Amino acid sequence: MLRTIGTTSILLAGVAPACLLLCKAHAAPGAPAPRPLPVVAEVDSVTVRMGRLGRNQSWTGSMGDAISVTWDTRRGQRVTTGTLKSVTRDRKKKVNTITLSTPGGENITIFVQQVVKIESSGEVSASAPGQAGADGPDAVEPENTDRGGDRNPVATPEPATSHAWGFPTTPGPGEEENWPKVFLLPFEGTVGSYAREEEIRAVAEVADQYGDGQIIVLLVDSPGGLVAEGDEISVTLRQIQKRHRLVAWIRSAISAAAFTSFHCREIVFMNSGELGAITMFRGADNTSAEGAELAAWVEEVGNAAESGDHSRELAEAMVTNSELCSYDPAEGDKGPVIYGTLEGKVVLSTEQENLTINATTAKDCGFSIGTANTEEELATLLGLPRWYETTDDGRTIHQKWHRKLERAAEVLPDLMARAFGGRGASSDPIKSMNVRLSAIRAIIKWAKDLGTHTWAVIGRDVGTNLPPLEYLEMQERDLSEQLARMRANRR
Amino acid sequence: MPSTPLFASSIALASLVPIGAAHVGNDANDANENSSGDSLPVVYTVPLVGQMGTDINAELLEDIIEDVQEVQPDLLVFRLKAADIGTNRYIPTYDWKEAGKFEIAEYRAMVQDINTKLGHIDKVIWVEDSVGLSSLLPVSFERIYMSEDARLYGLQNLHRMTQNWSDEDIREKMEAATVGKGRGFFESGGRGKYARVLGDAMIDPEALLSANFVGREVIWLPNLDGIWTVDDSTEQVANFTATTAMDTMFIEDTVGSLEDLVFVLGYREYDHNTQGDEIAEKYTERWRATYERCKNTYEDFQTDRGLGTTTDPVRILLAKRKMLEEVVKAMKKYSAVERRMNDEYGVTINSLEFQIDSIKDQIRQMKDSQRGGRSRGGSRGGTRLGG
Repeated sequence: MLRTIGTTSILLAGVAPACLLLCKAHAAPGAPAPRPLPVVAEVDSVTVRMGRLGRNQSWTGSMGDAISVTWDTRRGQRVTTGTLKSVTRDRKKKVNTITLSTPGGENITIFVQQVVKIESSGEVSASAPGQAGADGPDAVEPENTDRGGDRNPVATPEPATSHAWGFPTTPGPGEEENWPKVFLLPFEGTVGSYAREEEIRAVAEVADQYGDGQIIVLLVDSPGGLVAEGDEISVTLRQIQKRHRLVAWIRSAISAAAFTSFHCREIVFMNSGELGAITMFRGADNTSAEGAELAAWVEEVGNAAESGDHSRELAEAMVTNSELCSYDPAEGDKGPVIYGTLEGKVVLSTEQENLTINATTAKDCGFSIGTANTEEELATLLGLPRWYETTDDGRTIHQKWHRKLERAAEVLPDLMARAFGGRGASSDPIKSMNVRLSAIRAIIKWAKDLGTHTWAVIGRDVGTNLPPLEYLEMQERDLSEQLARMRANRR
Repeated sequence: MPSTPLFASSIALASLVPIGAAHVGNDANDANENSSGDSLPVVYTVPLVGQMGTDINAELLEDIIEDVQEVQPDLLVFRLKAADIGTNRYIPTYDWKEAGKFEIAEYRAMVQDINTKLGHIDKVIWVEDSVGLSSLLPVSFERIYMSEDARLYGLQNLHRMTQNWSDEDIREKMEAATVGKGRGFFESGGRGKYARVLGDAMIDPEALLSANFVGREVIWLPNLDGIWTVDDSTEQVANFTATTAMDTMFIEDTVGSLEDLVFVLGYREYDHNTQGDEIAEKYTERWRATYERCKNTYEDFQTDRGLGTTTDPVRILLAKRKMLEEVVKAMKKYSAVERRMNDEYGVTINSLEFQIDSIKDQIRQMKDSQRGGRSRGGSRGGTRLGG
C-alpha cells in the first residue's frame, strides 16, 4: 500500500538528526483494502518446486511420507530425515516451507529455497550423528522468509535452550506450558530504513509457529520516518494483534514510531521515554499537510489508536495543534477519561501545541499500563514470572538488518564514486567504462535488495545522494550501449 | 584529581574536627575504619567537568561505571561543572567550540545507565555550575545539591534547536518532540508528577512557572497562579540560581564543599575514593591531547605542510593518505575527537575514509600513467564491487 506524493517518490529531506519525518499524500478518507494475508495450507498431495540450489527440480509426494532432505545451511549442507509433517504455501499456492518430524521427535522447518535434494525413503532413519543438535529450532531462518511467505506453520518448534543475549528462554523449569512465548524486536532508527514492516512480520512468523496468544514486544526507539512504511506496518500490526499480545516498550517513539506504537494494545514507557509529534510533512519542500490531506491523516492516526484500544483524541492531538486534549485522572473506581476538548482536569494539548507525552502522564491518563526501565520490570507489568525470551529471533532479525545497512553505508559511497565520480578510471576508456558499469550494476543490486522505502531514505544515513532506481537502470542501459559501441569501434 | 587535601589519618582528624572529616585515598581498605572500629562509608566522586558530549560523555561514564561496580561505594557524588557561558553577566563569554553538544540520545542513555547499572547505590548530584544541555543531568537525579553561586540554566538550547523550520506546524512538531525528550530527563529524576510543568518551563520560553507550598510539598503550576513566581516571561525559560532553587525546594540544599555535602547527607566521616576523578582526568587529558595532534595533522593535510622535500606526486599523495589515516584513527578512538573535528572542520569518519579511498585511486592512476599505460598482465577478474 505504497502511496506517493503525486508522481514524486516518497523521500526524506536532510534534516537535523533527531527530527521526525513523515511524507506522503493522503487520499480522501477510506483506506485501501488491506493486503490479503497468506493462509495456512495443509494438503495431502504435495509438490515441492525447489529453487536454484535444487536446480529448479520438483518433488511430489504426500503428507506423512518418509523423506530425506538435503538442504543448505550457511555452514554447509545437511541431510535431515523424517516424515513430512506440514508445509506452508505462499499466495500463489507454491510451497515455501516444509516441516519434517524427525525420529528424535523434533520438528524441523526448512525453506524450499534451501533445499538441494528431496528423496523418498522407505523408512525413517535417524539423522547422522552430530546433526540432531544442529537441526534445532535455529534451523528456521526468518531472514530468508519471502515477503509474501506463509505464517502459522502447523508444526510447533521446541523452545530454544539458549539466547545469544543471555536471557532465559523459559519462564522457569517446567513452566513452559503455562506461559505464553515471548519475543522482543528492537524497532530502532528511521522508520522505512532501519525500522521496517519486514522485521515485524518476520518476528510474528516466528511467534506464529507456537500458535496464537504469544507476546511480541516492540522495543521502540525511533525518531520517525516514512508514512508509506507506516501504512504497511499498520496493515501488518492489525493482523498480528488479532493473534498475539502486542506490546510497545517506549524508549522514544516520535512521529511514525508513535503511529506504529498505537497499534499495540499494551504500551509501557521507560521512565525517560516520550511518544508523540505525529505531524505529517513532505520532505521535498518541508511543508506540512493541510486541508483534506491533513484531515485524512488525523483520521488515520485516530484509527490506528482505536485499533490498539487507545484514545483517538489523544492520538489526534499529536498530529496538529487544532486537535485539543485533556483528561480526568482515575478517581476511585472510575478510570481516567480522555477528552478531545479542554474540559478535563489536566490539559495536555491546547491550540498552541502539538502533543508529546511522557511516562507519568501516559500512565496517569490510562494510555500506558506502566513504566519499566528493565526487562525484569517489564515482565512484572506483563504479569510474567520473570523476563524470558523464547528465542532470540527478534533481536537477531534486527541485528542482521542493521548490519546489512551498515555494510551498505560502507560500500555505497565508494560505488557512487566509481559510478559517477571518476574513481577507478584509467587511461583505457573501455576499462574506465567497465568500472562505471560494474559500479552502477552493484548499486542497482543494492537498491533492489534494500527495497523502495529504504532506498528512499538511506542516502541520509550513507551521507551521499542516491539516485532513484529508474535513473540507475537508465544509466546502465546507456553505458552498456556506449561500451558496446566502443568495443565495436576498437575492433 | 582530588581537590581535597590529603590527611595523614582520618581517625586522627575525626577526633579534631567535629564535622565532615574526610579520609582521602584510592584504596578503601587503606584506612576504612573510624576510631570505634566501624567501617567508614566510601564516597565515590564522579566528576562531570567540561564540555557536554566530549569531556562528559558515554565513553567516560562507561569506564567509571565499571570502576564503581568494582568499588561498590556507599555513596556516589556526581559533581557537575559544565557551563557554556561564563559568569560575567555583562560580558558573557561564549566559545561555540566548547559549548555542549546536542547528543540527547547519548545523555539519555547515560542517565539510564546510572539508574539501572548503579541503581542500588545511593547517589546525588552536586551542581557547581551548569549552563546549557548539561542541565539535563541534574534534573534526572532525585536529589540535587548546588554550590551557593551555582547556576542551573540553559535548557532553552533544546528549544532553540527546533526554531529553524519555517512551516509552523513542522516547527511545533519538532518542538513537541524535543521538549518531550527533555521532559524525559525530569521523569528519570522522579519528577514525574511535575515533569510536564517543570520541563516545559525550563525548556520552552513561552511556558510559565510558579509554585504553591503545602507544608513541605511544592506544587508546581504552569501559570502565575502560585504564590511564588519563578518564570513570568514568555520570552525566556525558567532558570534556577542556587538561591531560587533552594527557595522553591527544587534542590535539597546548597553546599560549599564535598565535606559539607557529605555532612549534610549524614556522614561525619567517610573514605573518599578518587578513582573516578583520576579516570575522568586521564580521559580528558588524553582526548584533548589527541585532538590537538589531530587538528595539526589535518591542517597540515589541508595546507600541504609536513610533506618533506619530495616532489614525487605519488610520494606526496602517500604522505597525505597517511595523515588522513592518522586523523581517522584518532576519531575512531575518541568520540570526543570525532565530534570536535566534525564541528570545527566539517569532516566525519566516513567523509575522510572516502577521501582516503580517492587518494588511493589517484595513486593507482599515477602509477598506471608512470608505467605508460602498460598492463601488468592479464585480467584478475575485475574489481570487486558488490556488497
